[in-house]
Amino acid sequence: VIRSIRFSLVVYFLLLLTLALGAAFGLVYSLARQTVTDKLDNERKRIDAQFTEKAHEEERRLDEKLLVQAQALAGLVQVQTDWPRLTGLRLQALGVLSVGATPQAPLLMPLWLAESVRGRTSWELSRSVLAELRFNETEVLPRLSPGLSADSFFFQIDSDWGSSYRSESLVTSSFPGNPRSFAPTAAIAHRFSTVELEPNLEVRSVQLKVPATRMLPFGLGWGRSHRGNDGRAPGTDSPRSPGSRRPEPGAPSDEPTPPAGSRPTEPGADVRGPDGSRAGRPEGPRFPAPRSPGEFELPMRPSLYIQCAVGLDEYRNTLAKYREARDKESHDLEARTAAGLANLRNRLLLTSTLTFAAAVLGTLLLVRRGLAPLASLGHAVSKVSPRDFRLPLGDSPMPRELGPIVARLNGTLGLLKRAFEREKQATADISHELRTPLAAMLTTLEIALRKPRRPEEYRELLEDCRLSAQQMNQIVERLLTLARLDAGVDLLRAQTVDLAELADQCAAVVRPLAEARGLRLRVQRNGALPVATDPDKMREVLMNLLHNAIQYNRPEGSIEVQVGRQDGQVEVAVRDTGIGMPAEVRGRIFERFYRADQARNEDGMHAGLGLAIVKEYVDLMGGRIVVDSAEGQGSTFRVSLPDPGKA
Amino acid sequence: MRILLIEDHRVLARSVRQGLEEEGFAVDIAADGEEGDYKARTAEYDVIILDLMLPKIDGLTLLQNWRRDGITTHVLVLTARSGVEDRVKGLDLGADDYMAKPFEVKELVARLRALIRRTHQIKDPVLRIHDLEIDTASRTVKRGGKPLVKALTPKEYALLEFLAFHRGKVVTRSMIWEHLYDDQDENTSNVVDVYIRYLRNKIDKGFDLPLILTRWGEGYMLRGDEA
Repeated sequence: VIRSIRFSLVVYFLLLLTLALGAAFGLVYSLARQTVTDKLDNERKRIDAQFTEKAHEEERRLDEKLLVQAQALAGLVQVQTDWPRLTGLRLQALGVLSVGATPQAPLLMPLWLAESVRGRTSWELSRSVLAELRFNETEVLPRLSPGLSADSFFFQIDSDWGSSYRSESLVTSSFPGNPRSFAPTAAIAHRFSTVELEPNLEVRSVQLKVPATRMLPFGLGWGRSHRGNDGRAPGTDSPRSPGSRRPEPGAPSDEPTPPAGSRPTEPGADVRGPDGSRAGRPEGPRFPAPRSPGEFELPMRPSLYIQCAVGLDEYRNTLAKYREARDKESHDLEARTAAGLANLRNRLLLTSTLTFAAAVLGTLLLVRRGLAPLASLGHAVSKVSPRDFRLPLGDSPMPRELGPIVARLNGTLGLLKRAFEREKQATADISHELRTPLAAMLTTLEIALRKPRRPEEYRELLEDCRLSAQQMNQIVERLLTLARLDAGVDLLRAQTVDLAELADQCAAVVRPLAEARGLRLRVQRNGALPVATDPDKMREVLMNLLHNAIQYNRPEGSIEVQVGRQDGQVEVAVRDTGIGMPAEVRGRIFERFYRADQARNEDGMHAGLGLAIVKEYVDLMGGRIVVDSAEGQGSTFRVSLPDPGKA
Repeated sequence: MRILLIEDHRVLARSVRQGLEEEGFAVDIAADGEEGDYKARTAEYDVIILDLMLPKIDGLTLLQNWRRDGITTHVLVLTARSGVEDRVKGLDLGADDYMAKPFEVKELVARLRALIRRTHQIKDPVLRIHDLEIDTASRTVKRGGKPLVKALTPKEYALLEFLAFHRGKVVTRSMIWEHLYDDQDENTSNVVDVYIRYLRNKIDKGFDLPLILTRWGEGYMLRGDEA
């Protein structure tokens, strides 16, 4: 239920506006957020990549450092090892030459021979006599790397000849895996791995295989097996072994492999092996599968195997720092993004609110403006009173939408005004029509009572009184008839009537009156003409028409009544040869109290109600009455009724 | 005093006429506008009583035409319409008085007399000529301070009043006749001499100074103040 156009318009408009604003808001915000989120993701990726890069860098640095240390260790171990024994052994080879001179030569001969021959025996033999590895840690370690803590630096040196050295930090543990599992052809090789030395102690380790250079020249066989790279300093790039499939450590690699078991990003998470296979746990150092003992191959030259490891704490701390920095940057970025979004949201909200407020004001103004004509129309309508039925709209033209309403209103007001005027006129007419006979009667009575009179005089005066009273009575009767017709209580009591017969009867009643005025009255009829109608009302109609025909006829004129069928209707026409009437009179002839002429007949009984009643009666009977007239040539009133024969 | 009554309601016209005649007025009746117009233009009336709703020519039109044509006879409008607007309209168009139906004949007579006095520019309703007093309101006549021995009939009074209105001037027989008798009267102007004799008998008989004088060959005259 809409109570107020203004209110509902404002509400509906604001609802629409809210929808539109909401949609715009949502769209803009979601687009902006999408963009910002995309940017944020990119930034995050960049930061992650940066972090990964840094982690790799760090790992590479760590590995390099380890390798350098391992190589340094390798150098040092060669320096410090007790070589004299080895030298002695080497000299024994010369004994071959002195077989003849040395008494025990024949004894040593097999050994020497075995020595010169490649073989297990020879190897085992020489190994057992090879030097023990020596190492002075307290002296070496500070030189190796300043600030290196002996507790977190682990190394183990093995050799082909069996002697080995373990750093003091490796008291309880040792490097797992076989350090000798390098390809035998590679003289110098290294590999990195992350291993678990002890439970909860993960370290980054490097395994380095270097030839024990100080043992040169030792044994021909060894010398022969060497492929000419002996002179190379340890630490330089190792030669490319044709069979080696292992990626070159230190060399630029396509995909930097993080140390197994300690991926920089997420330690302890799944680890991918170099072959891409999944491994459940960090596998520790990846060594070539150990060869079966039967395949044992004697190294061409004894090698030193240096395993060297540092605790991952520092590395991890650095990584953690990087991670922290990354997280911080990420976090900052997110915070900035969120702040930016919040700012955007606030701005959108503010804009929406301002727009909304402006729209509320604007809508109120617009609606007020739009409804102004309605208000002025209402004002104008409120000014309408029974005294003034005009709609005081002034000069301002009404909008097109209100045009029909205004037109209709004006029409209705016009009707109302006419009805009001008619009512007023009717009251005036009634009082006027009643006043004249009343005045006559009162005057007559006054005269009669003024003085004693003769009986004849009284009789005359009383007769005048009776005439006046009669006239008043007739007027009252007619007014009542009309009032009953207006109220719709005058019902039609229809029965079959011979219209021709009825016309005859009426003519007979008025004929004396007509003849007294020298008028000829004629009825034209063709046999009976039965119609279903109210005979009393039909008689009243005919009598009225006949009286009028007599009243307004010229002297020596004639009256003709024609009864017959016409166009499927039953028609009675009353024609007179009177003065006729002009068109404007014809239009008003059936109005109440209208008289073409103010004349009354001699008994003063015409109040202008006769034809009004005739019209009402004919309407009530479902018929039609028309009048043809030409001024000076008489008038013809035609009453047509539905023909029951046709129905 | 001769009155023209233009009224189409026969009973009313008859009653008014009878009432006025009994008051000594001579009343002509016209039943429609045309007849009224004709009579007003051809005869001399002291007052015209005009109904407004008339056949053929309505009262207001008649009034308008008369005033336009210089007919200044006093007109008393008599109508069933009693609205202020109707009254104002009638007065605006030159009516001198206005009465609404129904009315009392007594009031009509009083208004007619007032109009007649206005015609003769007399304000005092009592006319005094020497020792003769004529009270036009009560229509009583005194001579020497005493009522007349024999009262005047309405016709005699009307004759005396007419002479009094024209005192000091000669009025002809036909003037008297025209003002005292309506158009339906069968009498000739000789009847005037008869009434003058009656009047002399009632007014001058027994007094030294005769007031009704005869101008032979001209007419009669009521003695003016100078003589």
